[in-house]
Amino acid sequence: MVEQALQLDTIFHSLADPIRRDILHRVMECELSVGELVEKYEVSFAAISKHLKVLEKANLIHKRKEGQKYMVTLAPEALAEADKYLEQYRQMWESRYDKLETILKEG
Amino acid sequence: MEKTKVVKDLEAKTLTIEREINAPKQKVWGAYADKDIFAQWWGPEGWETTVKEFDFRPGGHNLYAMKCVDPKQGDFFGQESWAVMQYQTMDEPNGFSYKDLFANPDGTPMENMPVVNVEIKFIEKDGKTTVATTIQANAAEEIEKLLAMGMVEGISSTFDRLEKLFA
Repeated sequence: MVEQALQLDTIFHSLADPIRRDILHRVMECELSVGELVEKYEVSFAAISKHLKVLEKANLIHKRKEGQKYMVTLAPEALAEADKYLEQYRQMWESRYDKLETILKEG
Repeated sequence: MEKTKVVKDLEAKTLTIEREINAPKQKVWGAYADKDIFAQWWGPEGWETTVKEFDFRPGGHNLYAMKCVDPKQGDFFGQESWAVMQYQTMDEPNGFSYKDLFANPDGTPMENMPVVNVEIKFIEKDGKTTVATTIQANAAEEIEKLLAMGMVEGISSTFDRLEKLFA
C-alpha cells in the first residue's frame, strides 16, 4: 500500500511538468525515437533525456533499443493506476455520505 | 448506482464532491453542526471517528481522529489519523467553509502537510439536499496532483477515442 502510494506520487510529479505532459501526448499517438522527441522542443538533448528519465521512473513510458536508437512509447498501465486512485477517493466519500443518509433517515 | 460524483476544475484547481441526500438542508446542516451526529458518519466505511474538541462556529474548531477498525482493510487496519477543521464562515443552513489540517493528537498542525480550504454548500430541492464540497488545494504538490488528474482524464478519453477508431 505504501509502495503504491509512493509510486502514485512519482506519477503525479511526472505529470506536473508541461513538457513531460506533451511528451506523453506525442508518444501516446505513435512510438518515437529520443532523437525525434528532441527535435520537437527548443530545449537541449540533456533536458529531454532528463524528462524521459523521470517518466521512465514513474513507469509512464517504455523505452526499447532499436539499432542505434532508443524508441519511446506510452505505458498505459500506470495511468490506469492513477484512475484507480481517484475512484478510491470517490468511494471514500460515497461511504461517508451513505452513513449520513442512513443516520438522517433514522433520526 | 454511483450517487457521489467527483468533479475536477483545472482552471480553479479544485475538486468538487457532489451528493444528493434524501433530507431537507436544515437536517443535513445539523449533521455537521452536532458533535455526536458528526462522529457517527464522518468516518468512511470501516473507520471510527472520535471527536476530542468541537466548537461549531466561525473561528471555532473541531479536533478529531479517524481510526480504521476493519481488519479487511489490510495495512490501514489500526491506523489512526488526527485532523483539525478550522471553521471560517457560516451561513446556516446554506453552507460553511473551513480549513482542513493534518494534526497531532494535541491539536497542533503537522508540519509539511498540506492545508486545504474546503467550502460546503447545501442546495435543497423538493425536500432533498445536494451537498457540494469544494476542495481548494493550497500546497503546490496538491495542485500538481489535481493537474495530473486532469491529465489522466485527458489521456483516458483519448484512449477511448482511439479504441472507437479501431473498433
